[in-house]
Amino acid sequence: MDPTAKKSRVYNSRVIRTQINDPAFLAPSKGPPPTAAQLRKSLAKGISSQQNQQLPQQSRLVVPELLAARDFEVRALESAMVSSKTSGASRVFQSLPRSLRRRTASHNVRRIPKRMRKKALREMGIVTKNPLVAVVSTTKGVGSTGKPVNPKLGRGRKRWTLLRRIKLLNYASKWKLKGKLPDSTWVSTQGSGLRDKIKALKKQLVELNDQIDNTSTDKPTTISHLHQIRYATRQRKFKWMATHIWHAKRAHMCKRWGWNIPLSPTQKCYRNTSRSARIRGAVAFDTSYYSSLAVNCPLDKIDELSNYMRIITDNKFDITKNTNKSWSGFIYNSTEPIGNVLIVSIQSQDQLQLLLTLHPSIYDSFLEQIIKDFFESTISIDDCKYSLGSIELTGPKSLTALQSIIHPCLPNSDFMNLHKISDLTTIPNTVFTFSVSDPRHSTKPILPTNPKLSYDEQLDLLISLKKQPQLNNGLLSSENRNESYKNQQSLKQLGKRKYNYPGESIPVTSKDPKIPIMIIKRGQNWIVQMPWFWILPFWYTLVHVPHVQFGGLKQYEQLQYERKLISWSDMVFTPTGFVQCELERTENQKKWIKRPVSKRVNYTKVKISNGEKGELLSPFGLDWRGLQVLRLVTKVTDNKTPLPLQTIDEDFQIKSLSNIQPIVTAISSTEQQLRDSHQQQLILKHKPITIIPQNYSNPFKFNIIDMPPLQISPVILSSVGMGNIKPNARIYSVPVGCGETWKTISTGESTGISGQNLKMVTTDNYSTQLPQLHDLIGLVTNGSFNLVDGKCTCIGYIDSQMIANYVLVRNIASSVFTIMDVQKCKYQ
Amino acid sequence: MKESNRIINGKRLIKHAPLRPYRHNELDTTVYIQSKTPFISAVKRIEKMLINFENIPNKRGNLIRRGNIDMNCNYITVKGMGKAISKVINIGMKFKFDEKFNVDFFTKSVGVLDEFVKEEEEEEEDDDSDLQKRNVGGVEIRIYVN
Repeated sequence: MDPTAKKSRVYNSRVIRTQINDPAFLAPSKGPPPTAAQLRKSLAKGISSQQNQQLPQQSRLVVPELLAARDFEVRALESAMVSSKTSGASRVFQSLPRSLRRRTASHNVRRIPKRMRKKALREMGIVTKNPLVAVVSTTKGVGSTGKPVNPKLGRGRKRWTLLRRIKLLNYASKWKLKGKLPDSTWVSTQGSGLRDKIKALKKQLVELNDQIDNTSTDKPTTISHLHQIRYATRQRKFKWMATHIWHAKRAHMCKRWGWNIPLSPTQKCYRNTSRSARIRGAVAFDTSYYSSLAVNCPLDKIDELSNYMRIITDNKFDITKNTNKSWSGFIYNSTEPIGNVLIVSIQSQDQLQLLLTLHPSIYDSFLEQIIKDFFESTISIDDCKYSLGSIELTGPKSLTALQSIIHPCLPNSDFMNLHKISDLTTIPNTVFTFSVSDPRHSTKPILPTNPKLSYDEQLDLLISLKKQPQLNNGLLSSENRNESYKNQQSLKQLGKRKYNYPGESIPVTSKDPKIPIMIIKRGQNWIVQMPWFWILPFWYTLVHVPHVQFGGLKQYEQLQYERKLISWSDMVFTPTGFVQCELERTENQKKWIKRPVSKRVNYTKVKISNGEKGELLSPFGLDWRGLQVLRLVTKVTDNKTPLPLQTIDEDFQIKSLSNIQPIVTAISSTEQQLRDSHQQQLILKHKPITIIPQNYSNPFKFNIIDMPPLQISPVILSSVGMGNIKPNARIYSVPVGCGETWKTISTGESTGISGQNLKMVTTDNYSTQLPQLHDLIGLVTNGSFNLVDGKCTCIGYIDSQMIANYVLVRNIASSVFTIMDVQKCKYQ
Repeated sequence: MKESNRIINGKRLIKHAPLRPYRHNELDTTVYIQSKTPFISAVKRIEKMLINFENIPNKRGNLIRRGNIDMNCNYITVKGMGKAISKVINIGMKFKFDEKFNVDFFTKSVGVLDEFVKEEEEEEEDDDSDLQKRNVGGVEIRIYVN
């Protein structure tokens, strides 16, 4: 359809209406010629007098004359219609790009950019263009010019309390100054006057705000604050990242793992994030909450370190193979994976250094452990939790964006030669280390200059990146980081320098700091590691690159999900992940109980299949223990495995599959009893599940403590036809003997009576083909509509013995089964 | 269980896309065709792009174009290589004869990278993989708006 059709229809209707009212179209008047008064009246209507005089005599329409006379009017009308259509329809803040708009509190003029404030005030009826019209009212702390008004001193009692408080404060500060300084060092009162003390105080305050590298060797770093001293009390329990204030204005924050972390932007961004990461633009994350530690190993101790690394990574990380490279994988506690790690190893002349970046949920415990393990060795551990920060970038523009804010001190680095490459999978996993200059020297992001490499040379460069390059360990030393802070310019200082070079970037001098950075390419992401106090300047410049948007924790997980990789919240097999599952479950249950009975789903009475009623496993979250027991009982009745259930009463005989329901109910009530008697620790300690080793050998094993853990495999399910699967949906195997029916349904061969697609089948149609309770083999951890595939996909875990090509999935409290395709999921 | 990539001499082959620099202006005027792109989808995508070439008045009454299309740009580029060549040419023919557009055809060759990964050691993908260069034939068509 023509996009301007609507507009042109409006135009035409208005033109026709004006023509109808036009006297030029009317019948000739039969009466006497118009009087002077009548002529005046018609003149006022905007009709030319000449035509009016002629009309009664001629009584005929002269088209060319009419058109010539009306040409200007019609044009004016058309342009007025275009402008009037939009003039009243939008407020000034709506003319900002969507990402800069703040719809909430849009009445607050101070939230609108200064250049637009006057217009905003006019729109609110507070200031008018006409000076004669009085100002109607005022708005929040803003004068008629849009500048903030100084708060008035109160009157009466208020004024009196204020004055008294000032006096008291003066008194108190003098009293304090007699004795000590803010860091509670006592100074002698003799020999120094008040003026000297104030001087000392000011100096100390400046020092406290100074940026020093917060690294401690062989012990965890303890610091009072990371941000300016005035925010110290707010970050006692949960520290702020360098970009906290920037993020707090634009995103919902959450408090986790000792950090204040951006959860997701306040703006709606589900589709936008997906598209930016795949098609246009880039998505940036401040991932400084991922903490790092550096292991410094003398060359003669490499064997010791190598052995240690083999043990903690379950023989997967080999130092000799991975020198000057990055490696990502899992950290193990004996054979159980506890969390993700990214390792970069750098060999220099006198030592080998490892930089380990871990998820904050496991960092503290891991640090404690590694310090203890190397306590007597010459290998030293630097805790860089508060001294190294990182920014992660993904999307086709990510490399271009990085290259436009990074200005290497020495030219011709390999990184800059990868000119603007948009495809993230082509560039192999590599590490670049070099020094760069302050990004704020340029007024805006500068697009990288073309290195003038031929296409063939570019391909050769990519192949050469596979080899082990020489890496610089500048970022890993505390002195170097401190050195880079030394001459860090404030915005004010930079502004003064910029004054001499209007419109161009400030030339770099030898005094300017050289910032050591490390750029790691991992999977489809670029990770930039840099000294903590350089994160903010780089972040500010990065978000000013066009088409770069930021994301929070949720967006990070969304992109992992769309790339079919498991993210932290999917790692239910790690101890912290399992605790998270249990927490979410109890929280959901609490919320459900609080609701009135009539307003909540009665999960015990929901019809599921074949007259079966009620959700057996917990409907509030992932009930792994229920699944474990269910699978166990099923296997026992199938006579596949011996009976390992010492925990169940001996006189309780498992004879048939009909016993499943009471046993699963029993385990959930046992769990509830433990919770009621405050023994949650027991539940959390013995995980009901273990992840199967990647090579799928030895598929079933028991290590009985209370119950044999169920071995599960991560799988990616994608729906064959329609259907939307949500987290905590149940995964069933296709019932024995019914495979053919479900296959024909999945291929679309069999249809319903009215010819509709039968890929989603309800209970009524296929009652005999539906899975039974004992066919339940797994649970979905994350599922929704996948924008990449254009259909529903989900990540889940199923009993590793029961992997098949197709499974049936059912949402909680629903009786609809969806057939889904199974794909293996790599978790490393 | 599906295995997405081919195995040659015990090594899994991962095909990489040709290198192309990121240009934001190109996004609304260029279509890349894969061998698995459905023909009709590609045609519809191009038709939608053509609509955006129309000049419309903005708030101030000046003529502009939607999206990122430059006012001087007057053609849509469609690119494809290897197995997709015939599909791209078919698209060109459709727009030339069915829709009566002016269409130009260009041939080219593109360098790509092939990665061979040892099948057993899937975890250590980066260590034991080789990259090899290969040239692929390609075709580019331009569909002119005016």
